Amino acid sequence: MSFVQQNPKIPEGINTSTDNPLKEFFILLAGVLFVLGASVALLLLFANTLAPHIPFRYEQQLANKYGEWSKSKTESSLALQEAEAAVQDLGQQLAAQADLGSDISVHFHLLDQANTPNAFATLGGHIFVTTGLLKEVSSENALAMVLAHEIAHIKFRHPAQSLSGGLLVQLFLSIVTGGQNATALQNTTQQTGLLTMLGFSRQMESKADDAALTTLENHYGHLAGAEQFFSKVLAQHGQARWQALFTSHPDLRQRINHIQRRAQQQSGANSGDNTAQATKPLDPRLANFGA
Amino acid sequence: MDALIQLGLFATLLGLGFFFGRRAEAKHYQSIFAREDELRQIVVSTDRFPPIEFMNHNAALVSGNVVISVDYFKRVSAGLRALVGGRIRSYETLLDRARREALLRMQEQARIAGAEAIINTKFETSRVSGNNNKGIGSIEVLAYGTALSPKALEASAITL
Repeated sequence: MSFVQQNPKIPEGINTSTDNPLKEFFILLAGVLFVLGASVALLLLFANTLAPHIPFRYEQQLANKYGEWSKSKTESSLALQEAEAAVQDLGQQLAAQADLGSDISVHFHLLDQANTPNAFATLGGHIFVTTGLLKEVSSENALAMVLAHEIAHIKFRHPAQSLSGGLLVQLFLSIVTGGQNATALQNTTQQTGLLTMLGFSRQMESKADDAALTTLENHYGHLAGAEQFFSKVLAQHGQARWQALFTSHPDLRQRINHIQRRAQQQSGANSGDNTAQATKPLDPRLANFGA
Repeated sequence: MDALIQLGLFATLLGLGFFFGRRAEAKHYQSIFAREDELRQIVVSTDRFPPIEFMNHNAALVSGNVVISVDYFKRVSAGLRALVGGRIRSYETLLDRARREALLRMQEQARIAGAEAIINTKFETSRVSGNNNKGIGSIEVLAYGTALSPKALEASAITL
């Protein structure tokens, strides 16, 4: 056997491929984008169904800062603190009647914004009421209706529902892109937490109304005064200071009609017992902020 | 807006990577084909012992070394491929080029040394990249072997 005289010419295309790399690239890209898009669409589609099954304690963890924020408010006036305690008392009484799940707890906070009547529920069972709202309610029943409405939002996990679609997508994308969206995720949870008041749908609102009326019925035995706050909102919604509440609660007239219908049904059922239909005055601790 | 800028940047890098990467690859292959023909006389083998006709030759270490960078397009393409599996064609050409270039450089060194053949040829391949795996990586291929060159007649006369 003699040694070769020169290196053989090796045919091309065995170790490599002559296909245009762009072709492979676009096929892969299209496939990946399709799967991503489909996953996002599925998540969004099922977000509403899945959200109520997210354990409430996850929500509480996300919203921990609201609790801390309330505690750190040491410089607020004594009157405000007492008023907050009064709202808290009334709210907890209502919550006891609202048939909340065993793991769900609600916390009430009073915001010192005298010019914006508003109330909203957000993640972690935190319910915020502005002092402006206290000014606009003339009886405990009207305030109770607002609180019971927000409690019902918490009960049905509406903040989680309205947030979780966007949150799930962000979470999913952050997993796929290897954590580059982690800051975006944090921003979403922190900033939309307070903004979820804008995110409830009409169905959510009317469902919450219904549950709130049931709560009021359980608590007071009648529905007198329940629509008072909403009537006021409707009468004055043209004014700028009401805008915040009005934009988040459309279809007020329908809702008031609904409340009145239920009140009539209820008083029809209890006819002859008119003494119980009187509204309760506001807690004296709220008097400083009253009309 | 931020996302659009990022997307634009990504597309630009991808386009640059594709255009320049492909041009460099085509040019490199042309050069490889030409030099392979040119150096065909310097036989490269993997035999561990010199064939009988080279028994009286001088043996010396020769090596060829090359580092080639992965371009952005190849990296993204390979990243997509990593999701589903399969041949990473864009890396196959890269490694093919690097191996053949390393061989050619080794042959070039052997030719300068006056060698007729290289035996016991081996390859080493390693990744050269920044410590963070986000940087664009490059590969190093080292080919080395034993060059066999005929002893000069005068030199052998002197030693005798």
